Parts: sequence; C-alpha cells; structure tokens
Amino acid sequence: MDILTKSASTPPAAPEPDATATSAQSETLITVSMADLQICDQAHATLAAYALGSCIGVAVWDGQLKIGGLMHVMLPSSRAGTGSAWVRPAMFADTAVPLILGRLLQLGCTKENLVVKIAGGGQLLAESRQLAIGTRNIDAVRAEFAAQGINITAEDVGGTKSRSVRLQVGSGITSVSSRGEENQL
Amino acid sequence: MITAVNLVSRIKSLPPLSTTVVHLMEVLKRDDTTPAQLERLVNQDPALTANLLRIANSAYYRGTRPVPSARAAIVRLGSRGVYEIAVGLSFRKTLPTRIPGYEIESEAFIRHGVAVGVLTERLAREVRGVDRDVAFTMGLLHDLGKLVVGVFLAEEKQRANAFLLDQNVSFEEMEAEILGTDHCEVGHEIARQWRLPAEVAIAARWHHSPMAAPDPGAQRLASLVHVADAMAHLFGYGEDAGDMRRRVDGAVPDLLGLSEDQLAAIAGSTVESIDEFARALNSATA
Repeated sequence: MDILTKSASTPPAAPEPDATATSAQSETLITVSMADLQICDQAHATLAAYALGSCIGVAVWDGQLKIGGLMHVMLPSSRAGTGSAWVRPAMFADTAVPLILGRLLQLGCTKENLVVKIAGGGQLLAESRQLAIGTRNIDAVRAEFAAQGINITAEDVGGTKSRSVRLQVGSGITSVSSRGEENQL
Repeated sequence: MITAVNLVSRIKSLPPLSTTVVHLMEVLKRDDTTPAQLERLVNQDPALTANLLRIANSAYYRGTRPVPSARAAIVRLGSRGVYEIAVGLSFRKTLPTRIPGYEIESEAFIRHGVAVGVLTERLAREVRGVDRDVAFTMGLLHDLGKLVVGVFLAEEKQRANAFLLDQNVSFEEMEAEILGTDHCEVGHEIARQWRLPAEVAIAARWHHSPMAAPDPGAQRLASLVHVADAMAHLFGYGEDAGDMRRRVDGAVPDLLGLSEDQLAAIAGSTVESIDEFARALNSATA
C-alpha cells in the first residue's frame, strides 16, 4: 500500500487566509496500485490509480457519507488466479466488485447512494484473442455491477489509450487523464 | 532520417555495461563454475556486492526461506541469477534520468524492462524448447535501442506528433517513417557492441516482428519477448509516449500454444515479483 502525501497540484479556488491554513488543507494523495483497493473517508484526500492500460479503475462513492473507494482491477476472472483471489481479491473483477461493495456497506453506505464510475480497459492497436484483456475487463466489471443491481453512472473505457483516474473523496469528483489531457467523468 | 555516421557515434557514446557483466556471461556459458569462482567475480564489482543480497531476497528470487548472506545468495541464484542482477544494475547505471523522445523517467523504463524480463522468463517456462538462461535478460534489455533512437526522435518531435495524429499508426511505424530505422534495429546494433548474448540481440531486433526473424529458433525467442512486451503494456508497467499503440502479431500466442487463462495466470502471479525487483533495482546503491 502506497500512501504519498503531496501538496495539491491545483491551487484552491478561493484565496487562503494565511499560509498555515493552506498547509493544513494540503491534499493527501493515496495511490492505488495494481490489484489493490483503497477506501477513504477523509474529505481532503484523493485516491488515484495510474497507468491503467487494460486494467479498470473502479471508483465508488457514497454521496451521503462522503466515503469513496477506488480499485485497480487487473483481470476479468479469478478462475485464472490459482489462489491469488484469496490474497488479492481486488485483482479480479468477479471478486473485486463484491469486495468493494461489501467494505462500503460495512461502513454504513447504502447501495442507493453509491455512485459508480469506471475508466480504463484500453486495448493495443492490434491484439490477439488471448490478449484482449481490456475488452474482457470492461465486460466483466459491467456484468458484476449489473448482477448487484447497481448502475454504472459514467464510463471512459476502451480505445488504444492508457488512462489514470482520480477520485476526490470529499466531493466525489472523478477525473480521467490520458496523454496529458484531464477530463471530469 | 538518421545518418549511419550519426548513429554509430551515438551508439559509441553510450556508457558501456560493466566488465563484470561480460565476465559473468562467459561464466554463464560454462557448466563447471564453482560458487567460489562466482564469488570472486562478484567481489570485484562493488555495486553488485552491495545490492546482491537485497535483490536476492525480493519476490522474484526468494525461495521459501530468506537468503542470509551474499555467499548464500550466490549459491542459491547460481551464475544465471547473479548475471541477471549484474546486468540490471549495470543497465540502470547507463540510463539518463529521463529517456528523451519517449517521455519516460528511468525508473519507469527500468520497471518496464523488469516486467518484460520477468514475464519472458515465466512464458519460457510454459513453452518447450526454449533456453531459459537468458530469458530474463532478453526481456530486460529488449528496448535498449530507445536509448539512442530517443535522442533523434526528440529532435523530430513535431514530425513525430504529426504522424501519430493517425490513430492507426503504431509508435514503431512512426519511428521508421521519420528516422528510416527504429529502436529494434538500433537495439540490435547496441547489443552487438556491448557483446551481449546473441539471444539478447535477437530479442532487441525482432521483438515487434518476431515472425520476420531469420530462423525458427530466433522466431520463438522473439515471440516470447513480443508477448511479454504486449502484456507489460496492457498492465501499465512503465508507460512511455508510445502508450498502447503497439501491435501484437495475432498468430504468435497460438504458435507458442499459450491460452488466455495461462496468460492471465502468469500476469496475476508476477505482480509482486515485478514490483519488488523494479523497486530494488531503482533504489540500488551505486
């Protein structure tokens, strides 16, 4: 688990009254590495998953409790995992989605309040059937949420590009960056 | 276009790999090397001596029990493991902090190389008739041509970007269009100048077009690195300016007899090895 702390990359909208306040409000950046899940309830924190490639960044946020979770899902099915699912359930779509939902519900979140956004699932320009992992990841994550009766609010998936995704825990703002461009999801 | 003269002088200006690497290669090709001989070689290389134990205890090499000393590490890893670590340390030292033309920091470049190395070695275990001794090194060094090509690419940035506007152009195709060569041809040349094993030169030359390699043996070696490289890009191990704009030869996984599930299992089971090995190399003391 990587937890890095750095100052906010963009200056706050309103001018800060003094330097002390600025440093007190400096943003905590929590990196979600591949096959990992992070859940956070600190309003000033941002969860981020980088260089997703064909992996999927799954951001789930409860707008009532202001709790957010971000996962960096690597593979569609734990069937291929030969036991890895016990150690790293966030690695596989079929174990990751129940994991994040279970953790959030345990913290008092309710399904109705959850906002789910996904990004990633990129593909190579040309790939073989065996390596079409991005497409299979997208399908698997969608199917898992559908099975749980939860809608995916927004997606930025597919294509021959890699993305990074960020979830601001306090606001639920989710943004996706790729090739130097950042857009809100 | 790169002129041959410019290219040769650029290759010559690269810092060479350590002499230990060359000596270890000779040792690796023999079967009768004793741990004591290996230890004498290791002791001549301060960077290797200083970092061997830590890397030997990272997930890729670690057995069921931790290795307590450098001597035990040599016994455990043998000449092959010691060679891999020596190449990794030496290669890292030759890198600038950022690889021009590819917009990638040296740490991420090492991470990509380690990922392709670990994945190539794992793939080699699944495929019959491949010598695994240099599998990791083939993967680790497959992109070494970028060290030279990147310098020329950086000078042609505008033209490069113009070519890349066409979303169906791969990064290698762009290199060939604007430079008249690519990181594969150049990597092959560097591997020869550095007197690296023939397999490493083959991997550098053919990892994007394995079926164009001159003989079935070379095709097979290059195919392993081809698939490992594709996997490394799919899982975001050390992204560079080429992003996901690469092509996989669709026939290659079939030829190697690799199934979807096998590839997924390999990807899932190598995460920790890749992370720890890359981190150990990147934080190695000089």
